[in-house]
Amino acid sequence: MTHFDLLGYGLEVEGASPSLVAWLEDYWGFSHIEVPSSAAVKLHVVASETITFPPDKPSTLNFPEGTVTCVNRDPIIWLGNATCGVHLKLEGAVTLEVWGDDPGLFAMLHMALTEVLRVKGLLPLHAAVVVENERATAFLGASGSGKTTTLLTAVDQGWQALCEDFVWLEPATLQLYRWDRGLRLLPDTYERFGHLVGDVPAVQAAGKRFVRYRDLGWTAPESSLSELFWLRRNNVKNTERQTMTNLEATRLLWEATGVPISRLARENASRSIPNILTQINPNYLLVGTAPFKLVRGGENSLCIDDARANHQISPEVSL
Amino acid sequence: MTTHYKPATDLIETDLGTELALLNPTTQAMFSLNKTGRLIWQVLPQLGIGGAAQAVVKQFDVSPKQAEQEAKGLVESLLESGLLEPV
Repeated sequence: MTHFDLLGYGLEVEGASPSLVAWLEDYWGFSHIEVPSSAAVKLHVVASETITFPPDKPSTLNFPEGTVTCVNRDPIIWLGNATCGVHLKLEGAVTLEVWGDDPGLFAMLHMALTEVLRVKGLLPLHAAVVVENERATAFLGASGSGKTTTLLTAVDQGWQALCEDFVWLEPATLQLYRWDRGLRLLPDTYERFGHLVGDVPAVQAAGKRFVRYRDLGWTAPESSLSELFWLRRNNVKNTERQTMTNLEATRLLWEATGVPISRLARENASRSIPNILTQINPNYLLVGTAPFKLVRGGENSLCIDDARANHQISPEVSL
Repeated sequence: MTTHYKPATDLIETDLGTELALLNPTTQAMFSLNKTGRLIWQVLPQLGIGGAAQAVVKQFDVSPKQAEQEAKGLVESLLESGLLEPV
């Protein structure tokens, strides 16, 4: 049996192949809490012959890398099909059964484990997060909106990187838990920020250069979320901060966290999002074409110091 | 006979206190209800349009006729938007 921390809830894995264990270690083997829960989530690898996949017409779940078929008998959820899939039981003691070895298995398992943590009350956030004085600032946005570039801009100015792509949020405390291993840099991003990366080992994957945080020596302390920005490309020179309504913030938080599969996880998220909005006022960050500088404002709010300020043409711009 | 209604399957509600956000996860369309609409939405499944109108009269400074019109209009809009289903 292999044990994973799973943010203190514990995940006990039985019968897994070495490749599945390696995948779990890479994507789910983050240690944040030392004492595991007594009610660990159980994951059993079983033979596909033992599975009776329900005959219901499946629905299709979309995720960034593709689609997964799903039979939802909430709180029992089936992903995949009779030859390869995941059976997820969310009531009582949470269990997962896994069978088959199609390439799509890992995506299904990722979806299932994400649902488990959602049911436990956590929210996944696709975000780049930087830390300064133990205060975390999260940058959210659609693919290509500039999350990595903004993160590296901050790192270049002395902030610490917590994560580049994915983080778990504990809504009650706003505590963030890093859930990725490194930076994925497009060629033009590497060209601009290569001095931050240096000659550390890198792997090419999907046109991006992957560099592990541990090789960079970047060890930002895990911190509470202090500010949250939704990034948008701005076709003008300057970068600007812009307010958003509560309704916009709600929609964008749902977009950043994704819609859960199960009723219980949806209810958790529906309760959590208003709680987050009572503690944090998300803003837009309209990312301009010119270099900009991120600084803390007088009340610890984030300010933008655009390139002109560096040349003493205008004072620091506080937005 | 009173017609009863229920929220559409899979609809996601986010209660922001002063307003209620309704998200259709399939279309990603989001709708918001103000204080009056939020109250009607919350009591409609149990009380129907008539009961929802009475609840509005109790809580807001509106006439019964106006409240009834508002409740009916909101229900029509919610049905058209696929956010509400008759039971």
